[in-house]
Amino acid sequence: MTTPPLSPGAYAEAVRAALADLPAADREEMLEDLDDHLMEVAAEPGLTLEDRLGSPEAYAAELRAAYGGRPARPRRRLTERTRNRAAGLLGTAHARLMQLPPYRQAAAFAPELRPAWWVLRGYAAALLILSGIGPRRLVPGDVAAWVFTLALVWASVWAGRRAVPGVPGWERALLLGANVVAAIVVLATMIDPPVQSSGSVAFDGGAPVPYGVQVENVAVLDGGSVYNIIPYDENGAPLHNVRLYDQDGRPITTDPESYGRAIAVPCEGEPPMRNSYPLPLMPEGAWVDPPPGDASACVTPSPVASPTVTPSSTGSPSDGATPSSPEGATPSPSPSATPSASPTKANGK
Amino acid sequence: MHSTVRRVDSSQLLKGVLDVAVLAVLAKRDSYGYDVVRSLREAGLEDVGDASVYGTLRRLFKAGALNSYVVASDEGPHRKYYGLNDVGRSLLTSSATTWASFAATMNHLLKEVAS
Repeated sequence: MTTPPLSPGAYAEAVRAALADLPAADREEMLEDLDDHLMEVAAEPGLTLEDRLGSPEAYAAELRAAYGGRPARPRRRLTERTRNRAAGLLGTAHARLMQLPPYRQAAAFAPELRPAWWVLRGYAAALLILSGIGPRRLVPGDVAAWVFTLALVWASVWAGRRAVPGVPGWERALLLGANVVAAIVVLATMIDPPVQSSGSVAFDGGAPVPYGVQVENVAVLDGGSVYNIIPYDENGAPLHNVRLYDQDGRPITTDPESYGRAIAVPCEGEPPMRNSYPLPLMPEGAWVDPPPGDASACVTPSPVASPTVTPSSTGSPSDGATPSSPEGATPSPSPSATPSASPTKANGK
Repeated sequence: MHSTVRRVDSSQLLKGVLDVAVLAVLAKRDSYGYDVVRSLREAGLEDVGDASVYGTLRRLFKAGALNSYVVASDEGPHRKYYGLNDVGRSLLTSSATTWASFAATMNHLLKEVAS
């Protein structure tokens, strides 16, 4: 025997743990004399409790058999017996592990974490219910959802504080089920956190058309071949410079480079925003990387939309010259730009 | 369940008659749990387990066959005494009759074997 002899308190604790599966009322009834008995035995000199009485688990098993194994109690159903046996095994393992200091410390502070679990449990339940009526989220979406979530957290904490001593069997089972579901939700959310893959897209454009469009993922619409968006207003008139954002204010961008297109840079001003639609695209092969201010770079033929993005550069847009070129001079010797989108215009490097 | 026939030892026999044994001890005088254990051992039931006796006492008490009271003690812990009430006494009487009949049958059955 390498472990030190158990004190009466520790022995009683282990016996109680081994009987933890029983209803609280039965357990109290059965264990009422336990402390007195252990004091009597401990008062006898010479032998330790375990030498005299066997292991706490054996004591618990014997007590259980003598107390409950008679027709005085209705015969237990098979499921109940199986459950009790499993719980008994768990209790025995717990009592054994309690001999190890690290486990003892963990078991000692685990109860202090219970309030945290109550909060997490309520939060998870709220998210589960909210995800039934809306998109999956990690945080409630609006004030009503927050109110609902806080109400469930409060209810969960209330139930946790209340459920410590003996509660009726069905209520206990209900609480156990809720705990299991909440644990599954928390684990599943940790493994697979919801990504904001869908949402409503608001148009922020030149025309007052603030309606929403359900967009799965712009880059994969229509089988994955969308690299530009051509918006029209309700009268069929094309819109320009429509800036698209998702529900979190992030720009919705496409990836035209993956489809052999490039965004044409206008002569003047800023380069076009990546989420300003329709994008002024040109075939990538025709792209020239000219010196800054080069006249040829101004050409922005759009192969996809008739309203080409010509940000009305100062001067006459049709002459191809660069009257306001900041660095001036060096007109490109390259062929003057043609406004038509000509894929064969391959004077690239 | 068991493929082999187990030899019946006294502890298994004891399980069936522990109720009667405990009732018989308490019929002589009121007693506390550990004292009942000692009385049974002194009477020759060496194999009786402490927890079995305590469990039996608790069950009989819950079934309404015993009354109980606490006695303060100067040198030791307070002790909870158990004693028979009317239910317990009638239970002991009927159990004793059953046991006597059963024992007679068994003795008769085993008479030739023993000799």
